[in-house]
Amino acid sequence: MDIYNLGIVSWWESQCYYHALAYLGREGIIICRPAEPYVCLGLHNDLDQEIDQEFCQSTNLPLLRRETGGGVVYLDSRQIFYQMVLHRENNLLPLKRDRLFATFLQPAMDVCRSFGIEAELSPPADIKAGGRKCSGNAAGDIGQAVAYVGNLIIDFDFELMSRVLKVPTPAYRRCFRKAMQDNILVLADKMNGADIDVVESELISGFERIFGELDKRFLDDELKDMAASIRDRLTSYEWLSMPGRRSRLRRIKIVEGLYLQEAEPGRRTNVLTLIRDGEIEDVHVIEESCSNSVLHKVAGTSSISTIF
Amino acid sequence: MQIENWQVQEDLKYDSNNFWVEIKGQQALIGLSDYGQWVIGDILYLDLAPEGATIVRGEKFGSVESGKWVGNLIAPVNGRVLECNPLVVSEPRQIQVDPYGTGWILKVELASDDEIGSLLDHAEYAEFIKEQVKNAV
Repeated sequence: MDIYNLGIVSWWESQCYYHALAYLGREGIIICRPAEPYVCLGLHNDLDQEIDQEFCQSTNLPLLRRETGGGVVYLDSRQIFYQMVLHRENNLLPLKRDRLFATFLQPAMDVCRSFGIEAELSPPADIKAGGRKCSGNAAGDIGQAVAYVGNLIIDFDFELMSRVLKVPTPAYRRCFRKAMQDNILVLADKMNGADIDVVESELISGFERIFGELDKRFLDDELKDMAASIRDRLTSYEWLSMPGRRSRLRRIKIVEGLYLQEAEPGRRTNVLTLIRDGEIEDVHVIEESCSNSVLHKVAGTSSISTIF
Repeated sequence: MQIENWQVQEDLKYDSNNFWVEIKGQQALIGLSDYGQWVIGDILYLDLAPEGATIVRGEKFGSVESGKWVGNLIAPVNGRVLECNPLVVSEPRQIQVDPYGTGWILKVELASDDEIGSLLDHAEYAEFIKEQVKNAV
């Protein structure tokens, strides 16, 4: 198996090389980080429903739609990406594709454990520690290959992530940000100043435990040319604006099994529910005034948080 | 007939991407087999070629999202899309509830009379499933 340890690459390169490997029918593992921040949509996310495009334009945040699943995410150099491309006929691929996440995510889980973090798989594709997500992952058929991609969250800009997504009210945005902060663990807090390079080399060691010795590769012209043409497609307005999954009321996935959902809006009130594994965890009743939001506790729910 | 945990309907044709095809004159209904829907898992979203589009055997006509995996839907025949099942577009899980009935996916006008030639009959498809399961990781 080939390994491309690319270090810091441009924002679009952090997504386009694994697509290029897949379309070229080449297997490989890529480790990289984006130099610049950007917003990445999953294949079936709906641009108009999901993204505050005005905000992204005003802050020069570029958009790219990948060909794997999962949701919209704001990404920057504080996440370490690991990407694996396998031929469709590779014997490692199980009948049910999502079952390979347990193998694919083992190196990332080992890295977490090396920092004393009790990381475990939260099926199908999250890594959680102490109930909080510390890694985002997805997969997809690309050409004649299957790509598994993910990142370790060394640090995360919760504020920018909450600004990137289109939400119905400021209160919803505050609630979204707080739900992320409560349910996402940034590894920097646990790394005791460890260097990113150490994390990258530990990831590579983890993949060597799966595949045996890896063949170190550098970007070649074939890969660069293919990646450049893929960039043009994945960032084109036509591709980005392709219709996707929509819901009548706004519903955002925070982590696996946890959703922030808008209920039927009333006159100057809005009800938000935080639903975990199908059960209501929190209900927020918000009255919007000119300058503030007032939050009312709702009887019968397990808890309620202030989200000013 | 029952193969392992999956139903294989005997009056249908199949392909190795786990689609069933029911031929009715120049038209065909296409859906995912019981085994096919199991392989994909909990289906969250379907993106299908629009009505009027041409589909080509062996080429992608849509995609499906399950969990955090996106898979390609590969056409089992050549033809033109007459109808996408609105029920599965709005409720993709219907494919899992009734894969051979209300969970059908596309109705197509076949490109030629011999579209059926490359498809598997139920016995061949049953063998295909057994082989897949035997070789599974």
